[in-house]
Amino acid sequence: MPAEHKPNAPATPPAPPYTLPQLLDRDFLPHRAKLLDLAAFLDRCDRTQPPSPREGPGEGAPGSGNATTDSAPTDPRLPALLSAIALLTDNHPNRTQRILDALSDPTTDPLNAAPQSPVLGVPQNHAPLTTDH
Amino acid sequence: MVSRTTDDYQRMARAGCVAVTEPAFWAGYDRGTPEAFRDYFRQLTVVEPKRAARFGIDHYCWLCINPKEAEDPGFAREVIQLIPEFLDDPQLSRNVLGIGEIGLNRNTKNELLILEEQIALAVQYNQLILVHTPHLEDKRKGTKLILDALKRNGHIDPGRVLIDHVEEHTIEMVLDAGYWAGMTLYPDTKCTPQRAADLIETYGHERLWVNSAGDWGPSDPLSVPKFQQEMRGRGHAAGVIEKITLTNPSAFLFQSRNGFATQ
Repeated sequence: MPAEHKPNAPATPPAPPYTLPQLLDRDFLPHRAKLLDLAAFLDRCDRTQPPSPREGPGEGAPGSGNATTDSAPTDPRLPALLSAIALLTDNHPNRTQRILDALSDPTTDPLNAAPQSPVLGVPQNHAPLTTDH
Repeated sequence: MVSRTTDDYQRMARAGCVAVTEPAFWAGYDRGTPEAFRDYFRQLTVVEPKRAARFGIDHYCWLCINPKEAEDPGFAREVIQLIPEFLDDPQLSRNVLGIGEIGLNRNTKNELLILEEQIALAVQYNQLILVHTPHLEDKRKGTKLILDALKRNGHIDPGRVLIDHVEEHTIEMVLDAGYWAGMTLYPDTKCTPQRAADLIETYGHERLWVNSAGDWGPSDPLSVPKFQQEMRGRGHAAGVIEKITLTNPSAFLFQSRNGFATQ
């Protein structure tokens, strides 16, 4: 699939000095391992105990009971991660930028005070991603 | 490097590092008094240069109150008032590159207020500016707020400002506005050597550079050599690698009022 041209990038971005077969020879196996790490993490989420009533986002509350069907509604992290994973296989370029955008705070005004909750890595009120580009 | 061991300086020297530029940053805890910052600024301007010199490394620093400790404007202003005594002293300012790393942490109004006051201080003293952009979900919004604040000042030359910690979703707005963009490399979180190489391939070589994170958290002062290794492994020319890791940083830092000279 062709790479999407970035507005700030050189008018004709030079092709990188490697071919796809060369890239795969060099980097496929480490990324296969990263994919398995991600799958194993989701399996691990499935195996967790239900969270205690006092646990909330950012307080060590990973538990969903089931990563794919029964995510804890108060913790936006796992739903956001699962939504972002869908961007990997939607056959559109710039996956990294689009995932970062999806995991960013969509508001624009400065806050009145620093939130008590820690940064989670996803918007506090995560909305499911759409597939419309 | 205040939170790193001397062994790190030794390893960096062996890997070919000739200079360190250390920003004033959050030390892993909130300091209790402004006087603690005076001690910290002396550590950056007096102690660390001597420690680095033992290994043939030039040490430079930036001074400021970092955004994570800037939520209390009264406290922050007391710290800011200390900075001129270091900028005005010919001995203490010898290795000071400018004001940094200023910026935002959680994108609050107070952080923004102190950011604007430190931008004004940099303008008043004709100092370079190093900007820290927020982490994770706060980065995109914070980067936009920072660019707006710099523009509002009205006296900023974008060529004298480095916006650090850019990632794929913020690099374009930084470069489009004429600023330098920095990619601070971390082993796992934030920008890795591999992703930095991807950004170079996408955005070219102008106003971009990489640097190693060497802070109190998981970080690796040898990230730049690992970036160089990644670029070589992909087949990039030696000249391109040198531009990103030496020529570009030097071109930016040579603008410092207090002087910058690598070996």
